[in-house]
Amino acid sequence: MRYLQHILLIFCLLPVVINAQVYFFPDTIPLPGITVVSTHIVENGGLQEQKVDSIILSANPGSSISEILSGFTPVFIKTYGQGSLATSSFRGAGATQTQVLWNDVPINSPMLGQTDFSLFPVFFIDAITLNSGANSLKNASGSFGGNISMSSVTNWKKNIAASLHQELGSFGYHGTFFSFSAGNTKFQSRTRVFFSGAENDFSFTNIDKDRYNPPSEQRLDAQYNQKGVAQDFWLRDGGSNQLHIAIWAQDNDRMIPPTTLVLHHPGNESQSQQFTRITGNYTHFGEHITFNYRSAWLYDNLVYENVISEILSTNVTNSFINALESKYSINSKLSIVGSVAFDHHRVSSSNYPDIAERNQGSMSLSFDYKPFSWLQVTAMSKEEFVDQTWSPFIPLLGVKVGGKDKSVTLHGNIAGNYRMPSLNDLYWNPGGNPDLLPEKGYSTEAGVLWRKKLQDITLTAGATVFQNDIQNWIQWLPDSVFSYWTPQNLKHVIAKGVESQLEMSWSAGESTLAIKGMYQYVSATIVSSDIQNDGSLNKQLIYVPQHSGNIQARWKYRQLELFYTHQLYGKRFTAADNKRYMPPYYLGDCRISYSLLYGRTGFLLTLKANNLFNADYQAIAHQPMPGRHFSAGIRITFNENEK
Amino acid sequence: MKNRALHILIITIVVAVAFLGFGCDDNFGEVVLDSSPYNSGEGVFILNEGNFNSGNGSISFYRPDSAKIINNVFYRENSRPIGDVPQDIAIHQGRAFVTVNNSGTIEIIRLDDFVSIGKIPGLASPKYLLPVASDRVFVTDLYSDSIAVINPEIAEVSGYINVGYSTDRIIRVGGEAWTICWSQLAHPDKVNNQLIIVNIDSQQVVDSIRITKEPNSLVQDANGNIWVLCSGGFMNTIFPSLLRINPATRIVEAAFEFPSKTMSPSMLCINKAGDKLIFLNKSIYQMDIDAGQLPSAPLIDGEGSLFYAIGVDPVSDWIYVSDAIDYQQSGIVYIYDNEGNEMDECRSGIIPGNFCFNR
Repeated sequence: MRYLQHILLIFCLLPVVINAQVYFFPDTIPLPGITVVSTHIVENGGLQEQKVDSIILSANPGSSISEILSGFTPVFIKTYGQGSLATSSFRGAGATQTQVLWNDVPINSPMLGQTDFSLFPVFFIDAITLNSGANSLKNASGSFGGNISMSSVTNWKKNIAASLHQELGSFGYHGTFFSFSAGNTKFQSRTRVFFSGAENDFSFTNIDKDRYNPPSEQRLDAQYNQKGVAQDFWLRDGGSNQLHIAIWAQDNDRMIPPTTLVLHHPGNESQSQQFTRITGNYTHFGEHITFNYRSAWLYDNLVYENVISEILSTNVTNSFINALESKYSINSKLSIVGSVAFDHHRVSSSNYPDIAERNQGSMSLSFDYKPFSWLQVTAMSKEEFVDQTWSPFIPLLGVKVGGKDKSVTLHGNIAGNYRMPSLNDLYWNPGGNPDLLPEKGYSTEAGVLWRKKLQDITLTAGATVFQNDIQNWIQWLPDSVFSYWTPQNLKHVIAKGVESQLEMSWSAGESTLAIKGMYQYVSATIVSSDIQNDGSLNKQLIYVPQHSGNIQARWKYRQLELFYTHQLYGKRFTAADNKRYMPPYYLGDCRISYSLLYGRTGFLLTLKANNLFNADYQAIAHQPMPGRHFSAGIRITFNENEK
Repeated sequence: MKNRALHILIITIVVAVAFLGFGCDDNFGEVVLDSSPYNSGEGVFILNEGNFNSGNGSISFYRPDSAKIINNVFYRENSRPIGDVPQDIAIHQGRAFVTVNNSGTIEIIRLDDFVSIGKIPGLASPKYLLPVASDRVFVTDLYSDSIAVINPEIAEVSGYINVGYSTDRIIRVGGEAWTICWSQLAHPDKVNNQLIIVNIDSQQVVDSIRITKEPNSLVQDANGNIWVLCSGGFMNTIFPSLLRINPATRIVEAAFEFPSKTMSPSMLCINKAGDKLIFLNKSIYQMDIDAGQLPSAPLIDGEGSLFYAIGVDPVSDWIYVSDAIDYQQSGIVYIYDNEGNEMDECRSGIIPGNFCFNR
């Protein structure tokens, strides 16, 4: 009886893992234990998730999350180059409208409301999950586009394991990644350390000097350095209690080079950022009630300097995040989840007149009803507060038809959403506007997923249509009275489109092949505006491509593995009235690896070629990007599974 | 066997698809729409500043006789962007000189086909131009406390005049160049409330006049007096004012103070006859040079718009006004007659900041 209830509860937790999982490579080896990817315990009726296969993560420790997101997910990343600022656009929404979570803790900067993905080394992350649109409401509101959730995971194996990975690459790139883990079925510890950096002095064709005979120039002042340490502890008892403590400390330095049109002053612009994040996550699995409590402290210290403009900007952020979630299973068909959250943020910045503090929190209640094995309905209601202001009632309704054993799954949802202005919007000096209203809106989506397994071939195809309607969109504008800029609620944006994917994988004997293609169409336009004579009406938002996609292919034969990815981006407008644009471009990346195993010691040799076809391209106007470049790596592992 | 064949087929497809991306694109930089062929002649050059560091500034050319505007003239005729923030243009002996502020360059452009024939790099932050002789053009600078002197015939900087202050707009008054210190950026310890006088022949500073904080524009009227408009500083601590200076005595003879510290009047211009001042203070105002006070009612109302720059046509006396909308998109240029009636409007580039009349 108890055994059955254990199974039931674990099964209820697993939908986060199983539901709409996009397998990149079907592993025919049974997993040794239950991997709890997310301690989040809300069921997924009608809420779609996408996971990035952990194989991709372990194959690219030297990359940053921005490269993984642009190469393997529908998220569009606007990047200034390797080691430079990278922000996301998810379903046409902006970077402030995508919440980023680490171990279920929201980590977007309360100052800017966004996250710089170039600061996240893949090495520290074991799993990435995307929750598009309304699905993101589970964790945090304000993400009209969706959430990107990253976490560290253990497999609870009883052993001691270590790995050392060293990489060297073009433009002075070097990376050292070391990991050590020890534990048993009840306790696990993992320590990870890395150092990486690059001179980044790539040569590029400067088309801004002469279009027909562009000179070849060298990128100057683009160096960066990152180093960090992450420590995880996992504890569990016989089966009903689990604790995960994670600590991540990192130091980042980067020079910021000018555009191709601005005179280069050596050493002019630079940024250094140190952050420390500590999260604690406790879950108790009971007979009828399961609850999860998490608490985190996030510290961020960013210093930006521009010598010529005489700017030395110091910004220190401290955040305390807390959430408690509880699930009560009334019976096998119905469960209720209630959650409360409370966060406190404190910012001390040279750009604010005083120290800014903010208290925010939320309460939500959701019902999950499964009247039949093939039908799941979720209804949720959420309320948030920020300081003294309460949000309106934020509803969500989702339906899912089908299940993991069915070949066709349909899902749909409709939800409200709401985003508070960031602290910079309210308090920046000069210009901060404390009268700003929150952005609000609603989103809808509907999708289908089809799976077919024949002999040794597996096929998956899926498509989702979505629409995001956002009002009171915040834009900074010069004030009509004062001469400085101030944010205002000015626009109404509707983002709609289709996300589609197709995947084929098969294995025959010792070789396996998997191919996956993704294509997104996003129309994100301004439908009304409070600005007179606004030429951006009905025009696409800047730097949001209408068409984008990627193709990934993986071929494995015995110890040899070949990985190829191809990214395609359509036109991106650079002016709000769409009178300027960046042309489409393609990028091909290839990776070859060879693994050897001697007893418990493994060796992995890798060679990677980025921008294989040496394409001349720019992601952002007048910011050069490197041509073909390479990196090579050696990994030595002890007692770790090779992938 | 069947699987093997399938394997090969799929790999071929993948490789074929991958080759879709093959080949570098010559046109990988920003593509600019909205341009048409340039024909030289009488007209108005409009300098669209664009956003700082975005490189989306441009030059437009408006022909009053045909009431047509051509945008992105430089980009079209030179196949490259002019740089970051084109600021000022001066026409001298069949050539146009353009200061590109954040690129630190001066482009020398042939007027008949708008092709750039030379570029002077290496200036700190060049702002406004004053051609003083066939081989000398003064260039003021925001970050440097010196005025650069360029020789357009050899396309080089021939010297510097150390002024001790950041310099901005500059006009010729007889044998002197009068310039104003708009910003403190080059010298945080010295206040930006100075008007500096340089002798053109000797290229030496001969005098300076203390005025109100943050002067932004100056003109000479029909009586020979110099008018300077000061905004009082962007932190709104001082009342803006309009000052009249006698160039012979170099004394401020009249000062008109604006009613509110939060106002930011700018773009002082003068009409063809030299007897009416025109300036921007959210709306467009006109004032007789012998008026006893500032005008209370605007000539052209700016409510709902974001008026940014003014120019007065030296032939027709018509007033050109730019509306930057939200600083993120192509601005609008409105053209009014000298009584404030709207005669035409057109879309130019991003943030039209300066009008230069080739008439």
